[in-house]
Amino acid sequence: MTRRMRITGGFVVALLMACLPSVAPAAGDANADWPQYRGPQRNGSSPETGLLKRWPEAGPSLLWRRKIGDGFSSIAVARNRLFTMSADSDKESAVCLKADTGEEIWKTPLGPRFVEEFGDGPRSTPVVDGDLVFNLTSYGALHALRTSDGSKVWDVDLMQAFGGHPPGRGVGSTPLVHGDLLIVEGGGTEGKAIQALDKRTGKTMWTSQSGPAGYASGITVTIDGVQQDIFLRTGTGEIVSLLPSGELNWKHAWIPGAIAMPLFVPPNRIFASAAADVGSILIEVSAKDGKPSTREVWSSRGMKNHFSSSLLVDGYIYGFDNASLKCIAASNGEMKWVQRGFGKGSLIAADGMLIILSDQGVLALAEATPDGYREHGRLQALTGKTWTSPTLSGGHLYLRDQDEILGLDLRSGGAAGSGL
Amino acid sequence: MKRSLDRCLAALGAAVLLTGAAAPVAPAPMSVGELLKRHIIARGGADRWRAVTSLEITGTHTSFSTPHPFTLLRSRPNLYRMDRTMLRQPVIEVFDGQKPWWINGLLGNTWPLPVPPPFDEVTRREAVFETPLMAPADGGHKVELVGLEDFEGKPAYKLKVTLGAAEETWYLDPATSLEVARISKTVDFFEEMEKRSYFSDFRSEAGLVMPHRIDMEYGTRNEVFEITRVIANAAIEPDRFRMPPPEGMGPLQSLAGQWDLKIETRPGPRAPWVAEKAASSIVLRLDGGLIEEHYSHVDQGFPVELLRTISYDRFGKTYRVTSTDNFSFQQNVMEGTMADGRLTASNEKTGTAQTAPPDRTVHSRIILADILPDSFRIDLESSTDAGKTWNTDARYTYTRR
Repeated sequence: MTRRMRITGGFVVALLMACLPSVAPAAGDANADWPQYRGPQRNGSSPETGLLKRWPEAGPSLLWRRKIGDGFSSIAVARNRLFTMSADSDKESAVCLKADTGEEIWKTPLGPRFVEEFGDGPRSTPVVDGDLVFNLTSYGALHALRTSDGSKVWDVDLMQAFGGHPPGRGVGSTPLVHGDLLIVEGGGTEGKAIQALDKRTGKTMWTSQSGPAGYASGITVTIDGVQQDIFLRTGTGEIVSLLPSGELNWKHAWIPGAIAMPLFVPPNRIFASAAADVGSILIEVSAKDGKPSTREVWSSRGMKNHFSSSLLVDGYIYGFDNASLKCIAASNGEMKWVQRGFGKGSLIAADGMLIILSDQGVLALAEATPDGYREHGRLQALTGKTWTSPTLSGGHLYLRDQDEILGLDLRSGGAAGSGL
Repeated sequence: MKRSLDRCLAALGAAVLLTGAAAPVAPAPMSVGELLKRHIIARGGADRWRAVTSLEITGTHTSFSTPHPFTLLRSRPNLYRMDRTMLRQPVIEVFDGQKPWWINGLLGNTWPLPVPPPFDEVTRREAVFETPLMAPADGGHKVELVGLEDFEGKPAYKLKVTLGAAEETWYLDPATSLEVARISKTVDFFEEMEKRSYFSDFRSEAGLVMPHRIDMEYGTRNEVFEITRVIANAAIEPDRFRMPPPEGMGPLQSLAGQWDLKIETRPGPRAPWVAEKAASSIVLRLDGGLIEEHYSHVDQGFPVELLRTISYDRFGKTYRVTSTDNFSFQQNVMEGTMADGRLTASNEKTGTAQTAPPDRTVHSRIILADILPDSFRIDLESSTDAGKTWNTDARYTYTRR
């Protein structure tokens, strides 16, 4: 970058910073936490505002960059600390870093390194809840650690406890905290596929359903005043709703193979998608005489999420149809636009914008609008295989591939901080 | 259909208005012949393409989100070879004009094998030198114009292509007459599925217009080809299309055929050689992975028929020679190595040594050497001191008939 560009970039940044609303949460503010996979609501969307709407040529400012090791585990953020998982030569570990510097605070080995042709290391993302962080290894060992120092509070080998076995590509789902429960689809023998543990002790509270472990992570939603946990089951293809008691609320048969998370389309619809020529479905949940039932609103082969989950902004679903970024109408599945070139990328949304990360580390900013793909910035942030979706917290964006992890300031750009 | 067409025309008109271009608002109705003619002109013209007898195309291929170099070789009429890397494994797919073969590390085969069904049909289709739109009549396939339709938000001519039992759909850009997309069938891990290919970044290479970026999606897969160099009429060695023999067996493939055999034997190291004539037949079995020789001769007055095999153990990196005859009814198994074109194998470690009265153990050794296109030689040796010294008992000289 030339000196002139740096100066110009700095001016633009200053101008943009002056226009920022003062309500934007700062990094470290608990309101800015991204404590689990796909954000506060597990839907890929952040409530944050005050982000740059157009990036300078050099991109947003680089806060720091460091080695992290193998793994597809995404990054959780709580109280100015980052939590992820990585693998070194023989072990998978939970890792805690300072959010503002990337400096390591602690690292706790959890189990053997998972070796696989698509890439080694952990797949699941840590979940932070209060003073605990829950980590699920690729072989299905669930560990509760103290966020302060990484020391172990309890651990349960889900495979041993419930009779399941790790799926071929490794355990990839992220546990779900619901009240006092930690719920995970670890797979298991009859009636033990979905397990709810006491998050404080690891004690089994209930189990439900049968079948193998899934790759997709569950979500908690409230429909017609009923809080329920939704699981899109990889092995059986069912979309399953469980009440906090573990009781089956409803079940909708679909096609096996999903890896991406289900997406809640308020007030009462669930979007599910799977690759391998499957497509997507939108179902509606309604209660008649207090008894919930489901119906298919539409299904389509036009959006086939592989491992990257879709998100919803203002009635439109944005996601990767295999390797094509698309916008479709949530109401009827109609495609509004398609943009290629990101490979099997991932995306999150914030402040009316899409933050898109290609599978080879290209980071882009585009409008979240059905009117067309309108890009407002692009840079090469990482260079390796990048299958981990971005994390946004307090205006800072955290990215990783199988080698590096970095932090960017999405509220400022160009100038001295940029080292990309 | 009419509504869809109207929307397409409206979109085209709007695009023209927005860009201020002076192009017509809507494409005129067109026959499939006219459309293909425009397409061929847009691709550089039929004459220019017909003057091309071979293509060497190189660039970057991305699969499983990892880029690697690729090389595509094409030679008329339909020789085809694609070298690429997927998940750090070599994937080489070839059509030699008769049959497809591959090295498919993705399926765990890092050695050449015939392409099994149903993959073989896909390879045959990919081997066709030009697209079915460039040479529909030559390829014996049929192209029909379905109409002007919306394709991913833009108007495009939709064409149905029938290639024997297979059907494909192609979309052409009305403005450029170049291809936008192709929807075909492919096979992934033995499962047939739809494959969508998207063409972009058209550039001219010596007058040949071709897409320099092709995005492919099928099942859970995504492959991207980005072309950096095209060499027309490249000199391509015919061997690049030929299926190599199985590992270790290359130097022995020329043994196949009918041979005149001169057999010289002697009962002891100081005894004179006795010569006789025979005929040998050697055939390649198992795609060249096993050499099988059959011959008959008279051994010290006894008529003997002998069957000999030569193979290579890829895992043990060892040549294995077996010989079985209807005189001793013993199978001799010899193992060894090849160096400087000379295969030496013995039964010292195979447990098939003979026992001679009173209780001597006689090991045997075979030396196959001087392999030329029309001749080679075999020496048979024996040892009574556990391989310390060897005596030549028989000399076989092969001359091609």
